Amino acid sequence: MAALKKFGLGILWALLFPLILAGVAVVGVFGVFDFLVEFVIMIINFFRGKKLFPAYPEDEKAYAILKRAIDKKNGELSAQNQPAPAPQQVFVQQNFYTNPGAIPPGVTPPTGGPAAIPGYGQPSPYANPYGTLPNQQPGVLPNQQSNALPPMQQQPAMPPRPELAKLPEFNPADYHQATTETIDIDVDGGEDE
Amino acid sequence: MIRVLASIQLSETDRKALIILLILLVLLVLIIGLIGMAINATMKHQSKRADSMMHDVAVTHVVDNTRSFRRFGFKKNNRALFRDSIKPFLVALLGLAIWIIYNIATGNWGENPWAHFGELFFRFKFDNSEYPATDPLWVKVFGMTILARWPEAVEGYPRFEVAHIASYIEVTLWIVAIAWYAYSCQAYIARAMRIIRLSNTVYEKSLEGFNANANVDVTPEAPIPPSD
Repeated sequence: MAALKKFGLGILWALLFPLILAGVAVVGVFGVFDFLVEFVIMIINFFRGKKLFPAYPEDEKAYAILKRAIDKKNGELSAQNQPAPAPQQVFVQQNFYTNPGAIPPGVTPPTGGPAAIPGYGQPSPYANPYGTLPNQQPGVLPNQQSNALPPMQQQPAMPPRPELAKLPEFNPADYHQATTETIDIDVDGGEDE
Repeated sequence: MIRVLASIQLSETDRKALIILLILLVLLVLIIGLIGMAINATMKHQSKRADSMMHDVAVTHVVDNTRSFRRFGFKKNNRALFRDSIKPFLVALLGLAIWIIYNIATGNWGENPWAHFGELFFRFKFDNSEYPATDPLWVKVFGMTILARWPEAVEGYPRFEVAHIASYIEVTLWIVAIAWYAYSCQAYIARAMRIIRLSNTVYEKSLEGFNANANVDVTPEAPIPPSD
């Protein structure tokens, strides 16, 4: 049925063909004038240094709007596609300074009670890490005090080497005299003499 | 009516002629239909360019009414015709240049290149004077002059003459240019028709199937509770 309809339309178009031919003839004549006008415009554009077929202002406006829309969409897309930043986990080191003799959790206390643990009941030097202990400089642990290196002593200067003392002293004036001596070159083969 | 048709008695020759006439009619309709389909398809193909020409300005609403759409569409269509016709014009100019150079070289300015080109095809005797009076080519039937039979071919044709080779080339170029330009003009017409149709449909506002009352949302006010 669709083919028949198409065929019928074809007959209609064929009947309209003389009309189309007449239209083509009219447009053909119009096209010659159009060609001349557009050719002159093209030549003017050429000598003005513009494009031969510059875009119409309406087109430029439309391109600008489309470009803005595309840029905006691209920006949104890139923001969506950007991977989420990795979670920044801050591990806070917690130093638990237990008192000497304290029983860590999960450890079976020794027989004899807490008094059997060495150091039980004495104050821990690590109990207050940011504070100072008695008879101690701030920031220095007791272990560092006991293992401190002896103060550095300055070494005596090296004695002069005897073989260098035998060399003659360098005199810049001698060096200059030796390099500025004039050299006579006999170019003429002694004819002038 | 049926009785009248049934009363017509046809001889064997008449029946054969009628069948041949019917076959010819069907063939003619078929050929016309196919030609029409080809024209329709070509016009549709050519009109697609109008869509791409006008798409951006319509989508971005730079051109926002029917009148502006048509004006801008025809402006772009004229330029498209110019761009399309550059190549056929160049081909025609090339043919003209060959004709001028050939005539400058030979001095045969009065010769008809189209007649030379016609040598490459069959020629038929269409003049009644070339036939005997008892068996003319053209006859009058019901006041119309029609061909009585197929004309006789002129002897010696088709033929190829080396001296006319420039005419063959230049006429071929002109025919190509004319056909190409005609195709461009047809494309111009197709685009113009498409622009007119689009200008009517792109900015169309239809109220078909719309009922203003159907979209009114009337919420009844809540009743006031009875006072104590």
